[in-house]
Amino acid sequence: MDNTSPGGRSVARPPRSSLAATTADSLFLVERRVPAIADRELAMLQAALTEASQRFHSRGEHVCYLRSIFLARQDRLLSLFAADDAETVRAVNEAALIPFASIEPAVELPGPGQP
Amino acid sequence: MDRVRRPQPTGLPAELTSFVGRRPELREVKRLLATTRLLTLTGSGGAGKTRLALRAAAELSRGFPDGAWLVSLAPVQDPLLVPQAVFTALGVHDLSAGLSLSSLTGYLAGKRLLLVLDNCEHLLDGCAILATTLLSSCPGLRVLATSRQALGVAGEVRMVVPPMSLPELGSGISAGQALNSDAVWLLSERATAVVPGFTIDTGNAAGVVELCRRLDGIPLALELAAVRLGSLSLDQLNQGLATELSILGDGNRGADARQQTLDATIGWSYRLLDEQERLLWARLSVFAGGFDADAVTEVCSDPQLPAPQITGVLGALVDKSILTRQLTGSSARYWLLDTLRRYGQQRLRELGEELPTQKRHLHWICTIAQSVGAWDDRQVEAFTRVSRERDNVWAALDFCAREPAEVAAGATAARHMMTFWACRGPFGDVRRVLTELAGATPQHSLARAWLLWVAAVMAHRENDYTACAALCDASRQIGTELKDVAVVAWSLLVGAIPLWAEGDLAGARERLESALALAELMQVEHVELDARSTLCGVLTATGELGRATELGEQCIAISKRRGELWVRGFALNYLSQAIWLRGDRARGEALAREAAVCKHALDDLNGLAIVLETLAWMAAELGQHERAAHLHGAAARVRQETSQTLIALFHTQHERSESAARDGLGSRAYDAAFTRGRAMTIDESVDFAVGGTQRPTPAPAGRPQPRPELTSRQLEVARLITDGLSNKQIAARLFLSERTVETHITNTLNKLGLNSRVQISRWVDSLNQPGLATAEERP
Repeated sequence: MDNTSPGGRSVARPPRSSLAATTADSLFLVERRVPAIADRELAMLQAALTEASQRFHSRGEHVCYLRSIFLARQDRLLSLFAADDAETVRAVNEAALIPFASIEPAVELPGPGQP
Repeated sequence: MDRVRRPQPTGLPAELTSFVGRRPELREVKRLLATTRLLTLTGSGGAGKTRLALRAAAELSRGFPDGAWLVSLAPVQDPLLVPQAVFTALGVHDLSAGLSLSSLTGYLAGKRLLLVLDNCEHLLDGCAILATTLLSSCPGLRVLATSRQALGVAGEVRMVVPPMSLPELGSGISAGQALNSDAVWLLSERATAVVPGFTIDTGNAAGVVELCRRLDGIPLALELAAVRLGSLSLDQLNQGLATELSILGDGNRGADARQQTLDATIGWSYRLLDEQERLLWARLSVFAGGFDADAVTEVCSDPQLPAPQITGVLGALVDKSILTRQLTGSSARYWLLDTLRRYGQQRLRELGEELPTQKRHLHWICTIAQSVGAWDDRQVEAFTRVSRERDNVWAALDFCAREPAEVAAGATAARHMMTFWACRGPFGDVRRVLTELAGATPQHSLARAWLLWVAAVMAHRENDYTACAALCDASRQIGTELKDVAVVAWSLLVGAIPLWAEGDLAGARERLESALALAELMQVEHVELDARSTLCGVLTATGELGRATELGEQCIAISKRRGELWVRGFALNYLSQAIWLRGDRARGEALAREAAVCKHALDDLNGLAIVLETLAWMAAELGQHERAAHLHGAAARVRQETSQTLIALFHTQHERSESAARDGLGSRAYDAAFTRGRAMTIDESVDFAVGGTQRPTPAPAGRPQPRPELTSRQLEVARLITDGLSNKQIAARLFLSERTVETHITNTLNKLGLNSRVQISRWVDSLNQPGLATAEERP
């Protein structure tokens, strides 16, 4: 068994063992394909992710939607979340009704002058 | 100019039983919806939220030019499929390549419409985001939601649906006083359906009031109890329920207590059923979004529940208000109320039958999928059936995701369903679900290969050619390792499409020739059919018109022998181009018109857009500039509804055709004709494309509904029911067995779409109206 499949779409559900290994406030990068997306749709997507994350946070779940980066030439959107585990990030993205290609644990390397 | 009045669209189901009481609540819903754009009706299960919402929506629908629509969310488990549930309710295929939520927003943006989101409680977050997103982008939209909990979004107004009003306590209550309460009124109405002539009088008023109070005025509990008056006396009913509910005590009758009352009443109702009825209720809980009797026989029958008895047991469950039944076309479709479905699921688990029944449900879906995958003359019918069973298809795939041992069966079903999904979508969701399933299969398995292949087809439909190529390569690799010719051939075939789209005609041709050679060698006719069609298209583009014609004609011959339409539509389109380029313009155009008919029959909008484009090119070359402009407009409109983009290879031809028509007509006239073409509905576009150069006239709206036909025997039984005879008495009068009488009654109910003997009586009363005839009475 493997968790990736071709076509730039890796299986979204990370193996349980990897979820257990993550620590509180870990970072996760969510990747999705957004072909021919308009600015209005990007704004809608941003609002949906923000609201879904806030709903989860308001009921005590440790998850925060941080930001997204849109790669226009590749039709890709990369969204960064801080959360206890990937399963919560998955639930937030499902609640936002925005499909995704993958959720991967991430490490942020701050630039000079950043904390 | 005469204005054509179009019928107002409606997406609300017919009420199968009378709507009773709730006048203050109804007034309040309507008042609140006049001042807010999001109203959520909350309350415990069985409180009547859905009935109230539907009645309010029906009464308000005149104020919404684009109608009121029910979105039933009970069968939906995957939150990401919530936007699809809305599309399905609206009768629209999501053929977009982008985000479903965004497509839905675009579809609803200019509409004045009321959306009833029913049963939101298990998808609360998703429904909240859906409501917020749609309301912020669609100014003419209002949402009426029903849920055990409020959605919890800004601007939402909540209204708690209370139990039905109850009469005051006291032994001296009159019948009139009792009937002033909604709970007694409902009980009386439903009792009348099972005990003709049932009335509330001084003799039974106290007992009825006691029963309604005992059931806390919960509509579902009252319905379940009332139908029992057909076999139990009021006293027996009160005593039975007193015993059942005594453990709940007499504490504060709050929401939790009412839920306990409902649960206990459902349990009591379940235990009063006979063994077969209980078993069927539990097994029916595996269905999502309704089912018909054939499906029930397939999934639920066994030696304990023999197939010939299924119809009778279904009828008994309808009589006891466990199921609702609605006539759909010529057959009946059944639904389990969500609360009762959940109860059935619990019983199924207790019986230890959950897994085997879900497996049978999956295998039933596989059988339906096989009829799609047969590529024969059942294709249109099979597409219609799968469309009707969409919720059950998703439920079956969801089961596969939870049961790795069943993924192979799910992959087989998916392989068969490819043509349906390629026509109807939703491409992104199918690709997502199948890719996830592929991730749960062993790397070198046929199941994985097929799942990746169907995902590749969906990627192609989304214009994601990079993913399409990668998915095909992965599928082909597995097929090669496992020496499975069908997988290798199909992967080569679909893998040729990205090359074709990118203009690599030699590469595409090489793959298609390999696919065709393999298919011919191993006699895989589906691949042979599709490979000939696609190769015909590629060779037409390379100018090898002789071989293209040969392949196209061979393909159409095979297709006609099989009776399928999907490939034939494409093959006719490519062959029409080859024949046209060889100089036989009349035949070329005739073939393209035939292609449009094939694509329209399957509701394949992607295919139809291609054919309309071909016909536009032909019209421009014939100097029929106005027709060309109309067709370019129609093709643009169909493309707008789909994910389709013109591939680079066709850009030059498209531009040349548009320029010719524009030059011929002049810019202003071209734009006007293009706009008229773009304004045509799909049906009008096809009529125009196929029919000639005249604009089609709109089809007349509002055809009269055919009246149901009963046999003379069924009518005879119906008349005796009206005379108040029991089944036993009818059987004696007509020299029939009681079982036969029951069958006649069940068939009559099915034909008329009714639920009770009283409704049959009322229907018989209408026989005095002119124009009604039985099948035998007709000349």
